[in-house]
Amino acid sequence: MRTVTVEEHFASPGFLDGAGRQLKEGLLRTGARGLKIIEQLSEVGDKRVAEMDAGGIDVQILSLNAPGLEQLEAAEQITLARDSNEFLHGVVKAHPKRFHGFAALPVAAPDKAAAEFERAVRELGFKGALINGHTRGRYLDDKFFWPIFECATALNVPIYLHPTVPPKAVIEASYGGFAPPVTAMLAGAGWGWHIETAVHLIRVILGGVFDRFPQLQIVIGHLGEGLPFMLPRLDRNMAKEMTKLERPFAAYLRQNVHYTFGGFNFPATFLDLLLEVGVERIMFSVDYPYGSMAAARAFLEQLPVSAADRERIAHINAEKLFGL
Amino acid sequence: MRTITLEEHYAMPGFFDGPGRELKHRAETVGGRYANLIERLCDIGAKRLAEMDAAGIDMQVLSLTSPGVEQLEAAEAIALAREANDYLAEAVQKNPARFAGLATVPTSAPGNAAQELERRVRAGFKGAVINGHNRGRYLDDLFYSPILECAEKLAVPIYLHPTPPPKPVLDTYYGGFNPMLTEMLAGGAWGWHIETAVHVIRLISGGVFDRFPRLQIVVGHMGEGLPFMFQRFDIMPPAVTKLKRTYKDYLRENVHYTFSGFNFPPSFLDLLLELGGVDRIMFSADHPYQSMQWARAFLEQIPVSAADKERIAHGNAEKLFKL
Repeated sequence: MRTVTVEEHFASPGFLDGAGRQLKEGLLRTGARGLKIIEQLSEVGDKRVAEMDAGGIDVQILSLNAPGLEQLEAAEQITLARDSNEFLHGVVKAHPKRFHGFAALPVAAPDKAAAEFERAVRELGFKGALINGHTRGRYLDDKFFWPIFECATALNVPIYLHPTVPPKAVIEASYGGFAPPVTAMLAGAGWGWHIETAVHLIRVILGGVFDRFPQLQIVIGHLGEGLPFMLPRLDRNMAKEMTKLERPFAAYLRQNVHYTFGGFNFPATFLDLLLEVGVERIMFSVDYPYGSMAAARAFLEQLPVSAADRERIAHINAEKLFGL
Repeated sequence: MRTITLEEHYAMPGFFDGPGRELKHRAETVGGRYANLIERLCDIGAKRLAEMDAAGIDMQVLSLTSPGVEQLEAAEAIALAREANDYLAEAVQKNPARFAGLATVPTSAPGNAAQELERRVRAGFKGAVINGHNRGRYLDDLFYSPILECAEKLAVPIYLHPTPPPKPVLDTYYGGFNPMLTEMLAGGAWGWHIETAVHVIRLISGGVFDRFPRLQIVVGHMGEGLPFMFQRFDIMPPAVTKLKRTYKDYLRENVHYTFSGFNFPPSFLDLLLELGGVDRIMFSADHPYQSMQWARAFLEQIPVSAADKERIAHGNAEKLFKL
């Protein structure tokens, strides 16, 4: 069975000493495992392909690791996005059957972001863009950012919305008061990341982005970042009369969003997602190098779905959505 | 099959001149549904019993409706809690087979709150309800230890009911839309639940259950999203948290879960499968905000054995609340 994974990361040269410096410091504090991750993020060539062979992964669609460029000054974002995309283009060219790319965008300068997005898709052959959450506290429902959505719609490619840590006010109010590593985990991959991303997507829906761009597709990881669990409640409590949107709330989650594993190899959570949105919007992913390819692959094999549906999840849905 | 519901609300008329004034204002300006809600909240007698009979609900464990007294000054909270508990005690006394009570406690005065809880439990109350944070302070703060210590000593649970998030979260996450929409988003559509889940996570992270290992917290709404994230908590092992047990352990050993209007099969399955059994799942309706009939129909349809359905419908509640 062919396998395409879609939340797979790399670090471009210089990233871990620039925008990703805090990430690197955090990884170094975790010792040997952190060192290995740093090495894996930076290696996007033969060695990674060998790992994919061993892990049963045919294709990775690569994205610049979080926190990406979203928290930098606009001028810096513009330069670094271009550099990162050029680097990634080289990586993909060396292994065109094994790698594809998502563009990094200078989100803080939406017109420039749209131009880079178009260049990355049309000239470099990228399959979409990945945005790491808010831009210094501003969310994508803000019309300021809509040139990016307009561009995605024109190019007919999706945008992957990857988690980032919440704005400072939320970290302090919700996750503060514990030892710094505990606060960091609670605000990050232990919980806060996922809520942050779910809130972001809810804001995008309520802000009318999908009414303005009905063809737009957003991809989120982590089996839907908690949204499947809350989907029926959101739908019941936010009727169209209140939201003033064109469709019921749940319709956006079922028609404008795709969902990937992202390391959430959890059967009960998967079932929740499957029962709420259906198999055609669910896609395999590993969250490399944070998640294990072998573990994700084993989970994929065990999913309580038919063989045909397993194929959809493993590669067909991704091929269709990303035009692979 | 006997049915006991656990997240069922009431209010005394005076509540609507205090923390409940927003609902009263809506009843006066919008009328209809809101006026009806106030009437049903204040009635803990014949009309409510008739509604319960019609829906097939044998018993309600009642709590003062949100936002309770948690956002009040201490002196006001102490007085209003007493008034709320007196009102409830009288109603329970009249129909002890149909009603039981959870005490309102003035969390902003933890010593008084513990006293009020003990006095009420000795008089037949079954536990306490706390409506989330106390003006931005959470129960993991050592300030609130007397309340938690008292609940553990009395072996009664604390029902942690949602409340809107503190203002910094509300502004950052839910601001920028029309006010009604922001309120709903920060409230019953989403924010309430995340807020309550965060509160439970804070209780665990703050070592509350290491200090009070027998303490039992009850949350509604099928677990407030916690089941969905259950396995993810593995990335925060005791080596990082310095806790005695894992997050999963606390969620399986110190927390109980009720339906309260999340009559959604996929969410139920998520909770059921993550807990590894039905011993901590309990029926509830969220009256008068959600329909008792709807809850009862959902209970009939959940994919569990007849014996497990009995546990969820009443057995687990009887054990936990000593009914």
